[in-house]
Amino acid sequence: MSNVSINNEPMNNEPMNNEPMNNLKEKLDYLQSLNDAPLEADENKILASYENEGTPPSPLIRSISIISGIMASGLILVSVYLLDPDLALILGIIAYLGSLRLSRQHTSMQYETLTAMLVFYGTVQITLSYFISYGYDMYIILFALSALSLFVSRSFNTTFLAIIGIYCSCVAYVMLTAQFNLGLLQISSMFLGLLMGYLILYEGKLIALSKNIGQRYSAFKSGTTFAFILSLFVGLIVGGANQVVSPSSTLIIILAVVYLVSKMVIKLGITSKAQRFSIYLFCLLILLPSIHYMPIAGSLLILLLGIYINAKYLMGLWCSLADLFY
Amino acid sequence: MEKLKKEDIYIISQHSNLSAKARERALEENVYSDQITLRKWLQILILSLGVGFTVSGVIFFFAYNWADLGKFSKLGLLEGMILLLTLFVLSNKASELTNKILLSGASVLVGGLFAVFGQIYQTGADSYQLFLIWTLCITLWVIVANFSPLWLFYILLINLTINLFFMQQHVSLDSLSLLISYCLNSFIVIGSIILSKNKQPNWLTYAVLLIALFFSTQGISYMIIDSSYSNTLDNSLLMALTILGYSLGFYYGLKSRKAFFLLTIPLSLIFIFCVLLLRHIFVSFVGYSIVGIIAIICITLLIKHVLALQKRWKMEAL
Repeated sequence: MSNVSINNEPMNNEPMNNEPMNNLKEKLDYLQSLNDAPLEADENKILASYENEGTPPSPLIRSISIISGIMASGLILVSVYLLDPDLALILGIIAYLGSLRLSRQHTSMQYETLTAMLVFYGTVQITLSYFISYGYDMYIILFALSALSLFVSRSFNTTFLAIIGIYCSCVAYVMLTAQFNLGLLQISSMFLGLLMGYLILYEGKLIALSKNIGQRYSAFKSGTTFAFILSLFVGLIVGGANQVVSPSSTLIIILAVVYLVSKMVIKLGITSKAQRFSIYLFCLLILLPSIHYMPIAGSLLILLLGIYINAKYLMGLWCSLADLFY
Repeated sequence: MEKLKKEDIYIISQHSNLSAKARERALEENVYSDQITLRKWLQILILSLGVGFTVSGVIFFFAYNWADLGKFSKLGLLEGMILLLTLFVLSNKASELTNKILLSGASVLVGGLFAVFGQIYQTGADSYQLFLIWTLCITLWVIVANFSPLWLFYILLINLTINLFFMQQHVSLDSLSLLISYCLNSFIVIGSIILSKNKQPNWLTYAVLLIALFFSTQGISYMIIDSSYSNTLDNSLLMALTILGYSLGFYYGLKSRKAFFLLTIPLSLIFIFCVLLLRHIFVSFVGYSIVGIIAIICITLLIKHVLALQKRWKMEAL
């Protein structure tokens, strides 16, 4: 397309490989056909991003990185705390600050395991030290540290762990202060479910909202999804089978499922109003009996979102976690 | 032009004035499920949920009404359901996928039937014989259906039978059970690679590989922790077969460019190495920290190398 405006001066006087350039031109032409205004793209920056970022690491690599970081920090946490609690607190603060600095400077996958270890070790060590040694409220410290790392950090693992940390601080609040108030847990689950749905369905808007959010979009999405799954299991463990505390939270998740079904109905090309109405009614009738039990509607929401955005890993994650925990 | 990937849209969005509407359309057209994929996945989901809930319903029905049901009705209901499902599959009225999912449901119900039988006649609902008979009874269905989730279920049943046998007959899990489990799962991985020629989805091979790695890691870790184990013939065999299996797996991963093999096998080795350090070298509290740091360094290096390999493969594929 002729109206694609491209800045393609060679960077550092290096000759460019023609194939990526041709591929990129094709992609830009296609995107121009979708864009209303003439497309203005900085081709050099795009090619440099391809060169630097390449293919994003697979969910397996990310999982290994996070899990091994947490396991290793667990080893260090126990041994240092048992050795000297004061030294442990100092080390925790150093690790936490170090993780924030590292996550801002190096966002590549190579440093992610180290960042995960440092941020997990730092957050848990500081929280436990203040809680055990000084009697501070655990949930306030955990929330503050997680929120700070969510705002300051730039890497995947720190963002992911910060979201989980914020959810865990809610659980800690419910368990330590609110006398196991299951209603609060269900409301937090509902918020997480809605946030997850919003993040996944409005990806197109969110990825270019700001550079900071765009770069960490995947981390926000994965963190919220995992926190939502975790919240369903925590609800199960704390509440058992009789979750009759806050049916309105489940109702909202059921309505979110119906909304998602309405989007799918459009995509499937079902135009008859009677058919559409029957599908929505059928969904409601099927799901309403589970109003006292959020995991059913919640699981369905995750599975349908996974199918809608063609994210097999989301479905895989859910199925394996369901197998493990249920 | 081939379809855009998600990262293409991300990168171009960051360095262009691509509108939100255009981004959403690009994602819809290139990344998200199209009408055919959506229909296919919804069909699988609804069928699986239907069969899953029905089977769970049957199990809960028995659990809640156990005292009010007679022996005949308990066994008759389950046998009737299995009969109905298999007759429906045999009539071949539904699609191939539906038949496979229904056969999977029937396979689970066979276990339910034996568990109910075990409870009625007090032969136990967790004895290894139950799982052994269950496995044997569904073997033909598994082969006929050739359905990956059912294969995985079958493999898990075999593993469970072996482990329960050793736990119930030999009091605890011993090295022989770990050796047999490791050999069996490795054999399945090798067999699926050689025979299926990528017909089966990769996830099944990967899942069985993880099971095999779990048993080898557990066996060798036991060997390191408890020195009385290390001199037995079973353990020497396990060690030798682990070295052989890991070498083959690593070679296959490099040759066929499967990063999963190159990640999981070294990860198992790192775990074994850490156990070795904890048991023999760093036995104090400070030692735990040192081992934690060593583990982080090893895993960081592993990830770095795998990423570099993936990048090289991608460049070579261009």
